[in-house]
Amino acid sequence: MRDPDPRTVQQARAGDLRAFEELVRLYQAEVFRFAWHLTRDRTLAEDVTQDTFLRAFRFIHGYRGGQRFGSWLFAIARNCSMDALRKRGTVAEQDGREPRATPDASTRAELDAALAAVSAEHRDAFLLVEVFGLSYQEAADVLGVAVGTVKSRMFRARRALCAAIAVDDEEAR
Amino acid sequence: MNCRRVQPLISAAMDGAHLASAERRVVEAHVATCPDCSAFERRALQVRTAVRIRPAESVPDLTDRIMAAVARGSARPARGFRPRRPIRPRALVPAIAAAIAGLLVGSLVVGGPWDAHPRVAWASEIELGVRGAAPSVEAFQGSYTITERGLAPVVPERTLSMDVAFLAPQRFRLDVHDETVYPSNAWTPTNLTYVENMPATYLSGPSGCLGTLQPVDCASTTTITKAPYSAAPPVPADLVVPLATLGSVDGVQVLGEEQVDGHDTVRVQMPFSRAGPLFPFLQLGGTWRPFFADDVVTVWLDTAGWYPVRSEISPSPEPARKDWEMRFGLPHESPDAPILDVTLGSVATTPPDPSVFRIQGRKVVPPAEMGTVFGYTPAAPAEPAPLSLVAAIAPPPGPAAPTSVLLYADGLDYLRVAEDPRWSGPGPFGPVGLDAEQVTLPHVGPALYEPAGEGLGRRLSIHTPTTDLFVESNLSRDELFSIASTLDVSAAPIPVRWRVAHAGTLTLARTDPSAALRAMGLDTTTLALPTGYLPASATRSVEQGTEVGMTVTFRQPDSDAVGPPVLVHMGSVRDAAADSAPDPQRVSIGTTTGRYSASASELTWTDAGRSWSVQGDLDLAQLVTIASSVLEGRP
Repeated sequence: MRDPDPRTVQQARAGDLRAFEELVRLYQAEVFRFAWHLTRDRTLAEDVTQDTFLRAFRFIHGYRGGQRFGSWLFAIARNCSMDALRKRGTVAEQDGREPRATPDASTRAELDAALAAVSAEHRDAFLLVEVFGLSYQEAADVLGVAVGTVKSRMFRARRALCAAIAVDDEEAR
Repeated sequence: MNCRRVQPLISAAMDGAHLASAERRVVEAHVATCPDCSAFERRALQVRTAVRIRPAESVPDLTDRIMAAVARGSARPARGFRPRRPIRPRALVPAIAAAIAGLLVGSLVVGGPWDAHPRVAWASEIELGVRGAAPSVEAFQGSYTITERGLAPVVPERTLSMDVAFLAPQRFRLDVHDETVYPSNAWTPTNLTYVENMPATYLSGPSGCLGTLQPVDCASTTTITKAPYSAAPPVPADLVVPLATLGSVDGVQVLGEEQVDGHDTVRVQMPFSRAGPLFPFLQLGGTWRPFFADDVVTVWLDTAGWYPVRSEISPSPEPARKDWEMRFGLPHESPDAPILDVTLGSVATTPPDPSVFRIQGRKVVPPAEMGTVFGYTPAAPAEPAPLSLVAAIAPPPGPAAPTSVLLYADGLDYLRVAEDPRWSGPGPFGPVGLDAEQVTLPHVGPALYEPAGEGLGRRLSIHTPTTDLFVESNLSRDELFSIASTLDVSAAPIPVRWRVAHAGTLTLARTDPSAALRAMGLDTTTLALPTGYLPASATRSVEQGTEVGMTVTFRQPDSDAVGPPVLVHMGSVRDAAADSAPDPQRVSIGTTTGRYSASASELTWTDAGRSWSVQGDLDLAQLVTIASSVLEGRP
């Protein structure tokens, strides 16, 4: 994840909409991808992305610079995703499609199915670290848990996914 | 090492975690011979490739849509206040709302696979919301009904009304009017008026001036208190935005969402000892029933404006409360019957008339006249933004009073610079103690820093050859330092006589924390302190020329919501014998036996003819971990 120019954040905090727009451009793709992974629904992910930036603008005074801006934004995006899912009254549908088909669709499908089978807590840690490349500390900031917790959730998610691939290996033999 | 230990290490190493070289060698050797672990490593890398190497997803450009929504949102009044609502009869509110809400919340939060998440989500949302609201609120007016039960057998229930008004910058007023019909006129009604107008405070207790929100003009029976710094957070502030109580949600339990009297709220619970600022009237005088530290406080917090809509205190179910009840001569009180209820009737963001905050007899100095009135130009930060100067005040003279106070504010965020060019006290200027951390402010020089606590914000004391400054603020440590660094002064080293305090025959002297740790035979790298704790200050205690003890205070400088300090003390054994904690408990620390006092949060033991202690608001397991690392780390 990239870091914004601290001056841009400072200006956005002072209510400068152009500075805030810069932050939107910088982070919207990652926020959207994260929301998509959590909701598995393109329309919902778009709403969540909009809602995330609305809340970020409202709460930007509360961002004190102690953590990376991206981690702070992801924490809001995660809250918004959960609110959206709760409002819709369903949890993530597991038959959602990737925004575009992948070349190695079979591995992806296996992984998606395996990821769907791990608990939401383990999946969130896995997404943040493996897919979005956050450090354990940053993922801990997003999830509001200790670094050690991220480490163990990450291991459990990884073990479940490896087991899914193992089954695949055996079937191929 | 077996597979169960190796695989988590493989996983952590893949994510960039650092393994000690010995650990790495063991893992590599194991993987080379173990088919399961080598398969795990290979597959984990396959998973990584599969999720990372893939075509770019089609991501929509939502910039225009988002910015249109943001622009619409920012045109709305700050904090998304609803318009003023009429006062409603509250008869229906408490019992029925609580009963319905209980059912609702039970099914909403507990059910479903999203179980734990709403609470976690709300915890960070509350912190963000409350901290975000503090600088943006410009005005607030609220009317409340207070119901108190159990004051005395002849006064089983009292009803009081309360009005709270706030106008930025830093003007507060709280009026309590007692509507109880008392059995006789031996009872004095609890009528209170509190006004804070920038750094001056006015308080009138029972039999003072009655009536609500009229300009203060009271009879001679009233008292006027002007604190020298008024550094304590304004008393009613948490009713407007509960920054002191919920700016950090440590120790707060989030129970769920519910509707209360037309407000969308989130319900949180905490012990009474942590919730004091939500009941400001209890500390302003008058007659109130007592509350037990562990009594249960439930707060319904408006999720748009982040002010409390309702706060309720119920007796704690803890057995310890029985002893406390006996001490106060109270009957046994059931945890099911609330003993205090504060319910918001109406709320508005209409600015109150500034005249309601008027206090006679104090002097606000126009910026242009500061030099003439003070006789010097007060030191001022060159870059206080986003705060701005709102007032310069000449406080009434007093032994430890500053000669000038500059007040900067932005909504509820504030920073005060108090100054005295003739300070000759025995210690640093302002309420800064011996265990304050010595810091260096860029461009300014050395200063003493203390985190927030004891009713004060984060604070700095700065000594210069020509003047002494005290800076106090509710901003974060980083923000406070960054503004204080723009003060146009050159600080001098802390005078030697300020590094020493005397208590009877005992002399306490500040010393360098690293030197103290060396003298104690300790090393920070081997001490098992909670994350982020670093040595902040140290004191030596000397009695009749002999060193009798050494204490190092550890704090979390990087954390915004600063955790409690951890103190590690080494002393002579005689000093341990004097220890008379009321509730000692024997605890094993490795092969040594220690004594733990829950009330003092302190674990003590003796080792090699010395007494040791670790003290801090941590749980026993954490204290034992630190104590073991002290024992093991010593040569």
